[in-house]
Amino acid sequence: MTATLQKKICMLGAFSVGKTSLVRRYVESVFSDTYLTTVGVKIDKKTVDLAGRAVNLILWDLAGEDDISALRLSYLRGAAGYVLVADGTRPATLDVAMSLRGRVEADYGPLPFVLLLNKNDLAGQWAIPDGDMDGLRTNGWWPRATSARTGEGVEEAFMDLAVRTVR
Amino acid sequence: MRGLPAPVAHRLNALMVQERAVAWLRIGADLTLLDAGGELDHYGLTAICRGEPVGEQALFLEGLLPLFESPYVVPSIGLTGDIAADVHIHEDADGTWVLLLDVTAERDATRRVQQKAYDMTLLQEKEALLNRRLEAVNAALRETQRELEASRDLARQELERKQLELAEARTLQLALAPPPYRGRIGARAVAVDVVLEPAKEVGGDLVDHFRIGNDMLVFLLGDVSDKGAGAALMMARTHALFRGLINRPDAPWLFRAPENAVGLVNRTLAEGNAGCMFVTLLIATFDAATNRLTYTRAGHVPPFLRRCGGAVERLGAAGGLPLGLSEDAVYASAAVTLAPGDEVLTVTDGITEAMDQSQCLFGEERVAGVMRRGCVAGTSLLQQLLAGVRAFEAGGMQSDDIAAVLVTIGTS
Repeated sequence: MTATLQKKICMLGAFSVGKTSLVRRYVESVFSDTYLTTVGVKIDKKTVDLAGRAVNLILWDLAGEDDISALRLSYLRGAAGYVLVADGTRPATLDVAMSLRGRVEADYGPLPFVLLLNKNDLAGQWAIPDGDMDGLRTNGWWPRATSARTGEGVEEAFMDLAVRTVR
Repeated sequence: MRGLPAPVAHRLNALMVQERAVAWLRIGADLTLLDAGGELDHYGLTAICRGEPVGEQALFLEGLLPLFESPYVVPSIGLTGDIAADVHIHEDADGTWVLLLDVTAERDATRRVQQKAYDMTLLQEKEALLNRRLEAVNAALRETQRELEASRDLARQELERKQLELAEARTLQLALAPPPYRGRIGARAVAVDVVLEPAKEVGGDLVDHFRIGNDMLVFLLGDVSDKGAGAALMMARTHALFRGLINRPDAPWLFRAPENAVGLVNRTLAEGNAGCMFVTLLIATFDAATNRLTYTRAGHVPPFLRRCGGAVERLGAAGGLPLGLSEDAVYASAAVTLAPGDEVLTVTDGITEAMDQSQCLFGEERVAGVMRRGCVAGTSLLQQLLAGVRAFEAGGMQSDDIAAVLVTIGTS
């Protein structure tokens, strides 16, 4: 029997973009409207089957970045990949995500990542222009629209990243 | 511990162990668990097995081992049961040591402050977003208001231009009505009085009179089927067509038997009459040589004839269809002999169908009544008729164009 693999995946993004909600949706298939800020890091595990092999994804849900507290890059030590999360109703969070990606790459090199534009269920409040989305695609970022509330795109995004971390 | 008395150092050690729920792991170079102790249950490490790989038993160590720098601290890791711990890792000759110190209280305190700060920031972001949207809506409203004001100004200018044009058209149309006539037709003294009052700026009633030779007086009164600018153009065209016949060599023939003139004008009006407008018309020719009044009544209100003795007759012979309806319409005339003192009144339905406040019509009988009473000293018969209509309407709005022509045969 093949030994179980473990891969550390970090959740990165500005505060209140839905990182914790995405993890809860992915791991526990639940969603809560109550916003509870994350301090430090919260760790969860999700076992996935990749081509017949069980892989434990160790999900490090990191505190969101804000104007006062910057991300502790040391949390990413040993990470196999990361999930960049932005809030589609708050364009500034996309700038934060892009900044984080640059800093992570500077410290740890080109790790696999996925960019999620979360809260896609709030279509009426969507504030990221189509032009910005096109620009991201042109740069090879391939952003995914997700909704932790409905589950839209969540499973697919984590699976996509998991596959890329074991290549 | 240097500088601290042993009792103090022991007390501090006891406090740390008691308040921080210290737990520890010792890990070998092969990343298996060598040993563990302290408050392991507090951190959910109850089923930990010595000799087994540590990464699968303590998930928070995934990726951190082997240690790349010593000591290494990972602050505030959330573990089972909402417990938060600072994880301190260092190496020595006995292996890699992992210490867990409970910081749940500090984490919760930080969370409370951070929560309030983030909630406040989110509210400010929402407020800023709403303000931007409101500003955008306001800008759109201001732009719409500017466009509306510009459209209103254009509409006002257009309205003023059209009002000016209509005023000019009214002036021109009223000028088509001839002035009263006092003179002789042949050897007979004749008086002609006319009234033309469009209900709007311009109207569809026409009135005219003219001489043909020395002995013939022609008068006509018409009413176009509609009101307003279109009717005014139809009225002007009809007026011009009859006027155009006056100077023809065969004018005496055309007007002595007025059905001839009516037939010519009708054919012209009926050709290409896309709007299907029509004109009711009364045209009459008084021949002073014979004292005969020959008239053609094309769908018009029958004229009133007041004999000099006061009796009122109606000239009701039918002459044909209103003008403009059919190119093939055939017209006929009828004749009556007039005596000195006789008066012939022709009106449009703006008089007979004038309404009072209860929507009752003035009616032809009231017109006949005015005729029977005849002239009152100092007031012409037409003035009496119009005064009667105005009194009947009692201040109400004039609903239709008004026109009338009164021909009086003199006694000398």
